[in-house]
Amino acid sequence: MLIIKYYLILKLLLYPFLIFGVQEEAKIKKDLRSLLSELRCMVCQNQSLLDSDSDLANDMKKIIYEKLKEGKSKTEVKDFLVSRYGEFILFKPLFNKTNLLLWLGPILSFLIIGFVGFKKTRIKIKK
Amino acid sequence: MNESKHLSSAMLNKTLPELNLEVLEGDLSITEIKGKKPFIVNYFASWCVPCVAEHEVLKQLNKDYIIIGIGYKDTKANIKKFISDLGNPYELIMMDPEGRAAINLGLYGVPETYFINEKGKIKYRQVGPLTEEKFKNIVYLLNK
Repeated sequence: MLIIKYYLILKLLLYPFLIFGVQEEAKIKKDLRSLLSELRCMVCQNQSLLDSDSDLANDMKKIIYEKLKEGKSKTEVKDFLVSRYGEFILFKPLFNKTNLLLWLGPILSFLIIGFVGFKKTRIKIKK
Repeated sequence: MNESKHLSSAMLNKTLPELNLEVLEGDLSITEIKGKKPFIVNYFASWCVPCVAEHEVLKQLNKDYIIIGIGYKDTKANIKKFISDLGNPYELIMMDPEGRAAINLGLYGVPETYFINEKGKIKYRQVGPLTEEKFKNIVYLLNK
């Protein structure tokens, strides 16, 4: 009876730590899933790591999981893989100087088309 | 030197990462030659058919170049058999049974060959089997 009592007290004391561990693992799994969907399988290339079942993709999944478990952030893991496989591994290109036009292209074209359209409409109205 | 854009290595012109792998054969140490002499790192496997064709080329090259072989996702017994059947062009053979060091190098699959210059930097990566002609082109481009 006494053993059961001590066991229950111990469990109660450890409860916050147990919960923390479960929450931590759930966060890692969530980060892992979101990272895998953002990364390209370098063998299949049209599939994400999440969808791919290739050998290389499975090895990468293991390494990504371990890095997240070590406490590395999603950005740190992405940076590691970009440094090894290049930016092509990312489905979404990085927002940097090289990709600036790629990111701002749609907004710029929308503004230019809008401006030209606006000008033409004004000319027509004046006529 | 014009690799496909999708296959171009992000590791080009970067220092060869540490390869903490188990040595299967050979008493050469990478740390002894890295940064002093140029050498070639060749990833291969006994189960890889193109590696067999490439092996003949490597045997011809080992007279003039230091070649380090890394057995990829393979067993020691299979690599030993592969070498005893086909000959050994490598001064050092290491094992990467889980392909972990391979990811650190940005490898896609086997065979894959990395050309390291005397400064210890990766200067070229050959994806797929190395032929004599390809090798001559690579050496020409590296010496240009």
